Amino acid sequence: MPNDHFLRSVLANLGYWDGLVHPFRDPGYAELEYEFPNIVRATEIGLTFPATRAKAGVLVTHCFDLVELGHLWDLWLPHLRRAIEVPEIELGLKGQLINQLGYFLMHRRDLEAASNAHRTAIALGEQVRDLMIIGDGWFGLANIGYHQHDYAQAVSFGEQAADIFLELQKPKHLSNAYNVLGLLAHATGNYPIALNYFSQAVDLRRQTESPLRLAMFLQNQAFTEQSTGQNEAALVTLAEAETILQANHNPGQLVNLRLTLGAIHFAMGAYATAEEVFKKIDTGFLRRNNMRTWLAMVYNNLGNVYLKQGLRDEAETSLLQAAAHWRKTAEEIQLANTLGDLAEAQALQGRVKEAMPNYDEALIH
Amino acid sequence: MNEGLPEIQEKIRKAIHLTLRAWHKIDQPPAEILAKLLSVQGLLSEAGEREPHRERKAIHQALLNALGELERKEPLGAKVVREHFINGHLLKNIKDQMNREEAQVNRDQSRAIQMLADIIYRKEQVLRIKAAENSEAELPPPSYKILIGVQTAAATLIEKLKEKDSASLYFLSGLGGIGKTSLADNVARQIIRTLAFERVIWIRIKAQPLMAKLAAPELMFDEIVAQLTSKLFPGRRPGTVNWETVYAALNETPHLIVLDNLESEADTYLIFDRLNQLKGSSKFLITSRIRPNPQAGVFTLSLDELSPDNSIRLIRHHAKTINFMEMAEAPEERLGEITAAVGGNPYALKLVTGLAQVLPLSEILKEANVDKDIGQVKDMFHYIFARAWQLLSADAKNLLAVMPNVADVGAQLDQMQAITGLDKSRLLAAIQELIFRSLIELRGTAWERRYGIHRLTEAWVLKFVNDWTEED
Repeated sequence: MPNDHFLRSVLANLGYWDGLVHPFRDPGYAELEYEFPNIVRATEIGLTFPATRAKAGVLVTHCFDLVELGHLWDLWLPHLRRAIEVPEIELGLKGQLINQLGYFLMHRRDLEAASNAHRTAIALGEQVRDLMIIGDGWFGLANIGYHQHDYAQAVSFGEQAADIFLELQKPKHLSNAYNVLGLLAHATGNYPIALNYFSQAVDLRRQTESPLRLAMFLQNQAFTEQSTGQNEAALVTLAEAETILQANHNPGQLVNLRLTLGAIHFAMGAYATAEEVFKKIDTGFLRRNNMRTWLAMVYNNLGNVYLKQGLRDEAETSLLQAAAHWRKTAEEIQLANTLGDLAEAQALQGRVKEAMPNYDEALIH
Repeated sequence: MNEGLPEIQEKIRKAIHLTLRAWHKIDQPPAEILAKLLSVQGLLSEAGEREPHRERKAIHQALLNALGELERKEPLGAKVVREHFINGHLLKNIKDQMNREEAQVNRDQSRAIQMLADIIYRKEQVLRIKAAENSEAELPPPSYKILIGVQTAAATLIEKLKEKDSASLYFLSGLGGIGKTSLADNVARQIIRTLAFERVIWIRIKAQPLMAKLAAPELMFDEIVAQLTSKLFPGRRPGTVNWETVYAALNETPHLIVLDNLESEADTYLIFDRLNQLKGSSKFLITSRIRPNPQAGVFTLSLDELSPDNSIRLIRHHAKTINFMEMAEAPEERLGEITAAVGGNPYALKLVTGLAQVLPLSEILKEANVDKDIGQVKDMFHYIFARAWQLLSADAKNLLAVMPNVADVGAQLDQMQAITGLDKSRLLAAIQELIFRSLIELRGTAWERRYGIHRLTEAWVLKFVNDWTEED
């Protein structure tokens, strides 16, 4: 065992990082992500010595949001697994950690192992009579059910989770449960129920300092609004999400949002606005990150807007770019759609001979 | 581009002439040398995809920009070029229009093409300097002011790395403190200036876990992939990019990746296994205490101790840096006593020079004088660290003892204050003292300063200051 001076410094270090990650605030997360190696180091040393393990376990549980928002679970899982194994961590905390293990395994699409983790956590929660652990376990199982398309059972898990979070008055957790119930209702075509859940999830999230998740829930709500023909309402919802994402600098989520936003304007026949929205998309960001599917979608959508506006040259250029990107992905159906539009653009310019191979290729794909 | 600028100047001129002559021939492939110019690359990245017709368009745009500049300096020549090549008029018509002799117009044209090449060449130089500066800014700050005794090794490595069909893996091996990181840093900075690689990326490999049994080469490799992801795909989250994607990006575009501080044998084998398949022009330069077995596709350079002469140069230089002029100006025989006792390990020489400021040299050397096989080099470091420790102030001891809490990225002042309990002014004084004694290192950047410790120092502090060994 090291001397007391070093052990005190280990505890101080754990306390320092715990103070920064808990309570977690979305706006500061980019800076914390840079410090992730120091947080890992603190955890690693903290879990080494019996005298510091309990505090290290607390830090591990508090890192959940940082790891999830930063997609850092591959690097984090060995430390989380180790925290679950050390004897000094009390059962309640262990239950929370096992649920977290389940969520991260779900993100890795290891759904069976994730489900086992949540069931273990629920059993532990029942053993120590900790409702939060049980609620988190049901919530995890609801998410897994959604990904497995086992909607009926997932709804039942989600409702059990929501009941517990409501009883314990945990707004963040409750909003997450409502969001997954909204997704499940949307997936089964129950749009009014989905809208009801999303609006409750959004209302609850407004009370917390987590703008990125609020924006995510707003996007889900807008998607359902659009599906029920409420395009105007969807635009208002997305405008709010856009403002949030711009303020919190999240380029990836912003691209996703603008693709949806532009598509709604397009569906409403507001082609100039749709063009403006698609042009606002940061294609440089997509190019730097080799995100070809999204690049192809941007150019394809712009091409379609130009076609509607009668700008055939511009349409052809955009659709050619979209086709070039689709060819580098495995999205054959999307490529076929784009080639069909491209052929139309060429045929409209009287270049039927050039259009024919594109029509033919569109049919092959 | 591997060539130095003076050699390419003439090639640029010829390529400009060819491009102008083929201005209206759309089936003519773009001149490769012009397509690689940074000014053209800049226009291409604004335009988006790198298809041949876009390359051609970007080259034309770059030439038109240069022609615009030429019009201000040499309007007659510029007019000839524009009328002849771009507007497609015959020279004899241009001569009549300008009321000049045909020979004169010919001379104007060839002078104008030379000037266009000069304009483009100068612009390229500026862009290259900027690109190199940007690339260098991404490297961690160097831990040395000048490099002594490794110029030949640096030149060998640079030449090998620049060769197109040479190995993909380069190992720089040697004992702790021997200067592997400094040499790799120097090579990286020099190679940036050659623009042989599109980008140079520095990755410091995370230290081994405190308990060796928890070490997992796979985890180390995941860390490398995560760090590469954040550099290659800045907007993507580490979990969303797998090794295959990183690998494809490295195969597509030439990168030099420096993996600094590979520690264990297991890590080395895994690195071999994963990186050996690299097919493109990207290369890995790896610093390691392990010397790998010779094998195809791997270039290994072992870094030995400095020669006695270079050791003395290093002592003088370091003594000057810490304002220890008595040592800096000491006669060669006296300094030779240090190198005879300590050997040519640069880190050990720096530590001893610092110690000699406060302890009699004879006393330091009496105990440091050991045979320099690997085990005894450890003993020598133990002795040097132990003496340095005795001389530290209480605050500096406090700080050094808690530094193992800090990851390789280094700690900022807030974290260091939290773990030492020192107020800011005392902390800064302790940092200053430890930097002076070469016991902590600068990390981060000038805008975001961080501090870390050498792995040799960390291992010693954990064992001998914090009384912790794995058996505990």
